[in-house]
Amino acid sequence: MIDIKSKSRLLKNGMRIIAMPDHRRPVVYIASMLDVGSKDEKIGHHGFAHLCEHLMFTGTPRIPDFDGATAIDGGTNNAWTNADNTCFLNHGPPILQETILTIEADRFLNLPTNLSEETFQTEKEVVLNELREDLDSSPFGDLHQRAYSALFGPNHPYGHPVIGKEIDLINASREDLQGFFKQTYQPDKMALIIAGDIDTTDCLNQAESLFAPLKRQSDFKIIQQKPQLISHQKEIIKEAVSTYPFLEIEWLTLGRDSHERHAMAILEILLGDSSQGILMKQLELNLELASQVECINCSQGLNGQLSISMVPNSNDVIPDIITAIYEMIQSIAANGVKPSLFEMAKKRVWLNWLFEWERLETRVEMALEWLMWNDTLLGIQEDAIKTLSLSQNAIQNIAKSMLARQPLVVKGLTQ
Amino acid sequence: MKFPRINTKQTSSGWLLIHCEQKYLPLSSLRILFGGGALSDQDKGYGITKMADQVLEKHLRKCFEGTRLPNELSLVCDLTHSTLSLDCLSDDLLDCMTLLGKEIKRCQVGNKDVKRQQFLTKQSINAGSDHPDILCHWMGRELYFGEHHPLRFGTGGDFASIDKIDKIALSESIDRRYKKPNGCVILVGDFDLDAAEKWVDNNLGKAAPYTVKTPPCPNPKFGSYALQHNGSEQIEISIYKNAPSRKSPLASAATLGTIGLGGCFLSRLNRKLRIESGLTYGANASYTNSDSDGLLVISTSVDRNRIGEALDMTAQTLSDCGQHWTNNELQMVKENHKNLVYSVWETTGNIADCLESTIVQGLNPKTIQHRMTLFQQQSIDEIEAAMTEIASSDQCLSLCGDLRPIRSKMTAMGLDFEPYRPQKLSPQ
Repeated sequence: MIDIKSKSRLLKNGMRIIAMPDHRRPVVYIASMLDVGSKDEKIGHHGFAHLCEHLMFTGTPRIPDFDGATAIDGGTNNAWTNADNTCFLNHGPPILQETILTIEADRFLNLPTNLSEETFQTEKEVVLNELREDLDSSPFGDLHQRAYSALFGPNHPYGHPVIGKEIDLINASREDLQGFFKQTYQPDKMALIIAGDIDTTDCLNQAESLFAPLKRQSDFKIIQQKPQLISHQKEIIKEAVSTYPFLEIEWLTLGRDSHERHAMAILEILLGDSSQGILMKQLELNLELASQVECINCSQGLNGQLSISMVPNSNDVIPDIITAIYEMIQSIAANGVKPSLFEMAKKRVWLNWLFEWERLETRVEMALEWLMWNDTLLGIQEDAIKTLSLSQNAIQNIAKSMLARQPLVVKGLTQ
Repeated sequence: MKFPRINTKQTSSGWLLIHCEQKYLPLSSLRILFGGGALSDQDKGYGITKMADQVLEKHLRKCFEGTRLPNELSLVCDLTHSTLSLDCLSDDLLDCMTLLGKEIKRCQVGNKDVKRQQFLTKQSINAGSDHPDILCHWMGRELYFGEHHPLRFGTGGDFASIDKIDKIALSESIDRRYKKPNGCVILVGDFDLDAAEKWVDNNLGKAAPYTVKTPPCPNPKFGSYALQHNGSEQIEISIYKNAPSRKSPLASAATLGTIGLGGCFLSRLNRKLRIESGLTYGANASYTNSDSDGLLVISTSVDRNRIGEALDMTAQTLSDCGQHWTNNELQMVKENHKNLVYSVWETTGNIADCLESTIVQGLNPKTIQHRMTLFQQQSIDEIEAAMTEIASSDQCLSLCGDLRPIRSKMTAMGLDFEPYRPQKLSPQ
């Protein structure tokens, strides 16, 4: 077991602040995460959560140059948005601790009311460039975007791409975004972590005094949808002028809080591990039907996804690949896998957890994601270790249940 | 920052063993550098070294089947060397090394391996040609390095050269580089040093010391070229320019100057193109060097309808990059560089990778802290001198995207681009 040192504080406005000391390097990480993502967008406002994240870097009257305020002393900032959460990451040398906390609190307090039209329009253009780059990135770029609605259904909170729709972004007004910000960026949906070369009590005191003025501004509530396990559509197909085809099979899984999460993590390794994964071995080495075979288990809040993707040799071999995948899952459901492979997969899940924990930045992100579902950091390591105690029955049951679920088959075909 | 202690040792079989103890988590990283990379393909056929490495990598991955040893394994071919990387739980390290040592010697190339690898290599070349950003990058490399340079397409070769590769060539490449190697071993993490040394002597065979090779000089075709790519929403821009070599007194200043030009969010290019005008999601500048030459590459993807504005702004920023450096900018790039160094001294894998690149550049791994001090001593004058040298050098400017809808607009703006004939990029 790793000794996880942390201290936390709950503010009156509902915000949680956690200090995680690690004195190996002269670096501090200050990161916040909100329970706000593309799941919280209404129709016509797709892409607002991500655009809001971008706008958070555009400065306030008090601190007009957000990035510039820390860059001169070695500070850097970044952020990301997914379907569930928005995360803001800042890091720099320890002397920047107070500055980062000050500018971080300032933007949450002052940004929405002070956003200028010019700044808003420029940042909208940046996001539109990002969206078009995504579409250009492959002949099947738009297929990936269509897959959200085909898998979850257009009315599901995850049924649209995080980056949003071009038309919604073009039509978005500054007032729309200010409204979204006020409605969703609430302190009780937010956690802040200060990690690295820090004085635990000192940084908790600083953060408390700076973030205490944040007030709840509305009673916005996420409408939780009943988890579903059958994909909205069976198949989506696109033919394109491409030199290679593309195939992805996606199964809906239960959300993050479900019993099947740990078993899915093992199944991901059993199928897709680059050295010993059976899917990789069968499709790439034995049958030689495809390359770049990957299996990714994405454990999101309301519904998760298990995706198997690859580059088939040609359009013609796609039916054979789908048959081979089903045969493999049937075999796991009926007989399990070799004990050595099962033990390797369990250890691999733990190894991956350690790889992520080793880097302070990913450690902070892991901890913040945990805090989106738990009140404190207690149990974060035990949860990862739980995987080591699973039996083959759990994997067989998951495989049986996958056979009963209708996946989405995404085919990118060459013309 | 107190850097972790780096130790070196010559094993009795001639290998240089670099080791660094890290016990924060039960993780360890191994890197083995094998000398003789794709540079030798120039005589024997482009793509042989990389393909041989792919066959060996597949063989090594396969040998873990049935073991209870999870790991991250890769064998990456570079121009001057190949690197075998392994990251795993510390308790499994010796077992993983034992297996690797045995299997490196046992790898045999079959006709089936050759065919499959030829197919996959061609598929990956083809795949690149579907992506305008990759095409633009390839185009820049071909224009800058010249048709007969080993870096023209990286290490993968092209359709013509790949078809000529056979079983004998691949076996010879593996035997030459892995069975009679010259190289060095890097270990970072929680390990038993004596056992590791014994493993090196017993498994890797006698080795000559790792020698640093220098690639040949490029033969640039300077000018402005455009490649039509139907259906692209954005236009990719890449600019290749000569830059100071590693041996130049301006090399450290060029590294810092490049960060200020396009190596961080608040760099001059990003301020102009993204923050002030929303023309792009991001612009990037990178600087690489060898003992004989250096290269600066600028790349960005911009809104097709604002290409003229974007090109003007990029050209102006580039032409001014040796002027008007402020103390704030200087401090920002130095702090940014310091952070980059700190960030690679964190995980066992990062530290191992950093030590590997130090060896590849022919530097002493024990002098990392000293070299960092050199960067911190650079002045505005030195940075301006380095960037002026880069700004005044000729350039290969490449555009890739759907240019037809804006062709007449470009002509009206006096933007003249020679159409690029992608014979080498389109192997069919």
